[in-house]
Amino acid sequence: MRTNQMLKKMAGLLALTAALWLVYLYGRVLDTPVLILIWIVASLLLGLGLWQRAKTRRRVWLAAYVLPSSGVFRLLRGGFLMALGQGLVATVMALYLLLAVLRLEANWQWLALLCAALALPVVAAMLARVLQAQVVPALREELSLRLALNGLAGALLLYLVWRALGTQYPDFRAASLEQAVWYAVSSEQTRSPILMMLLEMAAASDALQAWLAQHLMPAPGTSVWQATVWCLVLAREALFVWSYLLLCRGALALPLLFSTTTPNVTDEDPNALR
Amino acid sequence: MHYAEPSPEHSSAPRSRLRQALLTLLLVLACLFLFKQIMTQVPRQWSGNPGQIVELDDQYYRLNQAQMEWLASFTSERFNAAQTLSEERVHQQIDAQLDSLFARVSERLPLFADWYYSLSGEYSRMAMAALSTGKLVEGDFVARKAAEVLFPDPIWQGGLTRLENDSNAVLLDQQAQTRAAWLSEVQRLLATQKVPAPIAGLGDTHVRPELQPLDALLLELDELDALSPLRNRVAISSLGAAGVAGPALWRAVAARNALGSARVVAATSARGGSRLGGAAAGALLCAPGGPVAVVCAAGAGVVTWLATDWLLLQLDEAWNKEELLRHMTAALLDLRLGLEAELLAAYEARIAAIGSASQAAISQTFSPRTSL
Repeated sequence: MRTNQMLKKMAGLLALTAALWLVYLYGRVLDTPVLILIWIVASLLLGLGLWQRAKTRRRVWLAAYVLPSSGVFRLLRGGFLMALGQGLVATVMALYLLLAVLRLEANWQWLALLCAALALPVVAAMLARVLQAQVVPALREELSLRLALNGLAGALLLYLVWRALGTQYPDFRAASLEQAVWYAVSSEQTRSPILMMLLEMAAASDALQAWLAQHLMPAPGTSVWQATVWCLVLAREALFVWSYLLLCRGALALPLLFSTTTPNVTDEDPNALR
Repeated sequence: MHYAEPSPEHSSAPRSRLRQALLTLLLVLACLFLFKQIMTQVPRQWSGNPGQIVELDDQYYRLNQAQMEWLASFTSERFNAAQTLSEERVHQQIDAQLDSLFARVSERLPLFADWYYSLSGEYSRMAMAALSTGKLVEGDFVARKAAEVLFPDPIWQGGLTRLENDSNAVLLDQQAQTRAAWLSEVQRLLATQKVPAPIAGLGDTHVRPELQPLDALLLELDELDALSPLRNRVAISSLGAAGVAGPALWRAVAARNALGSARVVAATSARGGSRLGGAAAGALLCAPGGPVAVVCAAGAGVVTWLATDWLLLQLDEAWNKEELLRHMTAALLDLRLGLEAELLAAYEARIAAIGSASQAAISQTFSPRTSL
């Protein structure tokens, strides 16, 4: 039964990755309303993942510190404000994720994303089995999923950064910053003017980063600039990986919305968390 | 014997395994399909609004299709208007130069009239007429003399050469001004579209706006400066040569007033009769001279002949010189108008050729086949 569920989850994540790949494939020729629709769907999925994560954390915190009979318990259990906050974060992250997806250039990146998506339910299931004797049942699946997400995010990030190290970048050493930015921006062509503006901004940011890297630290060293630029690269890659995996998490949580047998922690039985 | 009911778990296990295997198979197939698509497909590129980079005077501008169309139209209109301006300036230049040139020729009309009503002029005309009758010389002697007196090379050829050079200079200057004004105007209007120069030696596989070097158009328009200057030379040499202008003028004078010509013929016939009468009267004066009478008669006849000729020429000059000068001035004006018309036609043809070549170059530069 568990294997079936795992396979269904894998199939769902495969469909999600395929959908993202289709966005990558046709995003530049889509009109603005379609892109906005895709953005909304991605934001909803991401928001679902974020909201579920925040809700679980809040429940654990409430169960640990607040009496179930307290009014604070009811007030802080998470509602509209939490959904709004997570929704705003999800909107920004979804936009960043879609822009990053549209700017992917190599096939190996898609293969890495596909592998990560397929591995997520497998690793989560394996961790759930390992944690069977240590973790309370109510949180076992959630914890195993979170650990799997963290582990896969780390592995994916390391892989992307490692591959980024070996990638050939345009040589901006003889170019001015203006030329470098224009070089990157001029290659962007999309049907949607809004998307074009966003992609141009992203391209300009990449060019700025590459130009800074080539002019301010032409030779490997331990300068502050080098550290800063590498931190920037890591942060960008991390944000992309994390957004993608949160989207996967949101997709995995989607069936729970329509399920009536979802284990839930109620006010009456908060100790179930312990 | 105890009969045990088969449990639902036992009966559903093979079915579950089958579903599991089927799901796994589908998943593997879907993965393989997606893998293949990822490895073969490339993102679709949007080319609905292709931009274009215009290179002009070492500056780069990014223009969309509408802006390119505007630039093509603006360039075409600007060079078209310049053609009219060139024609006006060349017209003014030719007008002024011809005024100066024909004023100098006009100043020489009295010289020709003085020769015409002189004894040497009279006798050289008579001698040339006699030689012409005996087919010893060809052509109209008076016309040749008119060319020699009225259109001497330093004045006529020098003036026409100056006219040609100055008109060419005006034309070239106008073309250079047009190009400079166009360049300056385009640079001003496209200032907001300016982009950095491409990075040298940096090639990649990205789809980038096509580079349209308008410097090549400017270079092509520069080269039009040398377009067919020979046409003007042909025009100047055909009408402006002294050997053509002189006879043309004299023919015009002769054709202008048949009455004047008849009067000249009548005066010449009258002079012939008077000469004979004068010579006879001179010979009669020596009749009482005896043996020297023949010599005396001959001398008196010659002197009387010459005196009569001189007197008659003076009378002819007094009666007809003004009219001759008036006719020559009118013929000179006709010659000027004819020369001006031919020069203007030649220059207008040259300007039109430059204009059409400019338009062709502009059209080719901005045509969708080569630019977008």
